[in-house]
Amino acid sequence: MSHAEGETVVSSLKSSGKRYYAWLAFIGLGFLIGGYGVLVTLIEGTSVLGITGQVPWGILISTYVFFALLSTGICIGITSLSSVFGMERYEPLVKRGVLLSLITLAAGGAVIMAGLGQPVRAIPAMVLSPNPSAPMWWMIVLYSVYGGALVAEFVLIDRVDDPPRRLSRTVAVVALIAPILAGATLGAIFGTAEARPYYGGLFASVFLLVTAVASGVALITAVTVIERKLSSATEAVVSEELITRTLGKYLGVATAAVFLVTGLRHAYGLTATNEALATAHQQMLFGGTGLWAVGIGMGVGLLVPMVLMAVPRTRTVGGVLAASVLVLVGMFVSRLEFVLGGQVVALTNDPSNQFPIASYAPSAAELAIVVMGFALFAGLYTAGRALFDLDELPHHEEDTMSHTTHVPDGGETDE
Amino acid sequence: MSSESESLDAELETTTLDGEGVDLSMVIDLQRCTGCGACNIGCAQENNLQEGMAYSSRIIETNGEFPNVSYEYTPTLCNQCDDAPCAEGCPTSALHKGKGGITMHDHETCIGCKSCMINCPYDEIHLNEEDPHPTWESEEATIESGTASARAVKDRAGVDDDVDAPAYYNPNREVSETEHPTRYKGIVEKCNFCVHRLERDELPRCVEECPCEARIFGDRNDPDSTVNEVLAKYNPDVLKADEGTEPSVNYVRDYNGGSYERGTGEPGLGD
Repeated sequence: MSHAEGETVVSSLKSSGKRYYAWLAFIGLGFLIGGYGVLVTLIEGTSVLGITGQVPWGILISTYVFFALLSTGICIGITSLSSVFGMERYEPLVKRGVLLSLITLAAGGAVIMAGLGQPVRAIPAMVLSPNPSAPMWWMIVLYSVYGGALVAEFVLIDRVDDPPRRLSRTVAVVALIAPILAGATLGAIFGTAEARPYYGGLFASVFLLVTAVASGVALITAVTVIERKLSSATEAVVSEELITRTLGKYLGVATAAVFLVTGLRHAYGLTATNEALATAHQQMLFGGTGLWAVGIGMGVGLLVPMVLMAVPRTRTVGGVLAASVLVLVGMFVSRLEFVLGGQVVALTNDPSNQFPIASYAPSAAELAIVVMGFALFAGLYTAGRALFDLDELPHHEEDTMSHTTHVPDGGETDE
Repeated sequence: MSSESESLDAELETTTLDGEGVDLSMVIDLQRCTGCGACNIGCAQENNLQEGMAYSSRIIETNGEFPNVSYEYTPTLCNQCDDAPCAEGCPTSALHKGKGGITMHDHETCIGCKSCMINCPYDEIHLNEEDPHPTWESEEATIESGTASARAVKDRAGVDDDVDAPAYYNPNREVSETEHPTRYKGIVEKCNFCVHRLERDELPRCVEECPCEARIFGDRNDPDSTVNEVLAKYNPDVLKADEGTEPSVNYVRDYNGGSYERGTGEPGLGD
């Protein structure tokens, strides 16, 4: 339901005065920078991007993967637990989660469209000249279905009082299955590139889905903790226990799972007899990229949050926020490491190319488009929280399937 | 034109590009290839390729340390793979298997997603990152009062700006649905065995340009073709066979550059 009575988030923000307008100005600046990146790419062509013939996918693709899997992860890892599996403890996160899923999907879509050579014809060409053998085509179809399901789910929560249980459940199931399949096909885009074993073949889909859940949990946790600090309405709905006991532990486990699959990926690669595969892993871990790929991607982004969440003393609201933000930073870096790793070893010794290692550095225009993605995310979320009451719990008819008992103080117990 | 080229031409005339079961293939004889690069230059001329873009290129491998060094030169082009990963992964079917088994590219449906570049194991797909011939709009002369500006040449050629036909318009390429007389930014491009020439029963330009007749072209499904004759005679190789893409470009008679006795400069046993 849209804001109508009592203290609203927007009134809370307005009451914060200068901070609110500074935030809006910050977003505006992001759009300005991003607008420059988009325009210069449209006018000049992709020559303004840092990509080359040997490294055709750069930070725009990795940013798209980052956003698309955030969306995927929120739905698979958080909202579906309540809307499909009836775990009521996650109910306070559902509406905000659905909105976050939608806007991260939009931000990812905007970033990847800006990096296409022919963005204007992209959608018509997908419809009029489809190729069902291409994972990319399926990914776009499935993310479109997913986007539609998210809109429907949000409308049912926001606009319909006591929506039919069957309809809500159907929409929720679609909003669970579609992102699983979409995330898997996103992985297949990389995994089916047999010339680039760094992506891990079939394992790419599994890897991306596991990391999607961790990043999705991190985003919704970070946003919810910040909202609790900004709004007493959120604080009333989202208990401290939900943050520290449920989400904190969930984040810790998810981060550990990502650490495991990342470690396995690199261990397999480093010990591979395939020279190109081993070289790619050596280059990404111990070459010039190692500092950020290992230091930030694995150390700051996985190890530190894992420890923060494992130690009860640091599993406080502040600690959970810190861990979530670190996971998000690490995941952004890891997406770039993943995308570049498959391209870092030159495929041929053509004298007009770099050999044996192909380098890449993002250009100003690329970074500006990335900024646009984050500005779009921030702008859409700010608009969403102003327009809708994101603390509203989903309405539904009596759920006889529920196995969870809701405790008024926010603590829940599974039966 | 030599008798061998004439023979290939005659074969091509009897080959119907649209015919069922036609599988166009190229064999590169590495003993004949001298690495002169005429194929690359001819290709660039034929397809109006700008600097930095090459449908026809080469791989160079230098192994060992002086004085025991081996050098290998392998001419390359799109392998027109039977199991083309670029076409399989193209979301809009811009890359697709076309007539004669050629991996075709439709400029009008390419969205510039670059997934084909990721999927191609041979680095044979290229992105037009900017307009291929932007200099045709330049008012600046290379030598002031000495040469005409690009813009002046375009005007002199009678190219009207209102018509979508810039100075580099190549009517030779306007022969089929998937060939385009002009090239533009934001799409990928690749070799297609000069399908616009094949339509006119002409050999691909690189085949025609090769002064050593190192490139043999024809229908793999014609049992009497020169291609089959050469492939049967020698033990052919393809690039990156383990990728399983089943290339239509084969290499025969691997070149051995020879070696020299250390310190004497005399030919060694390997020569």
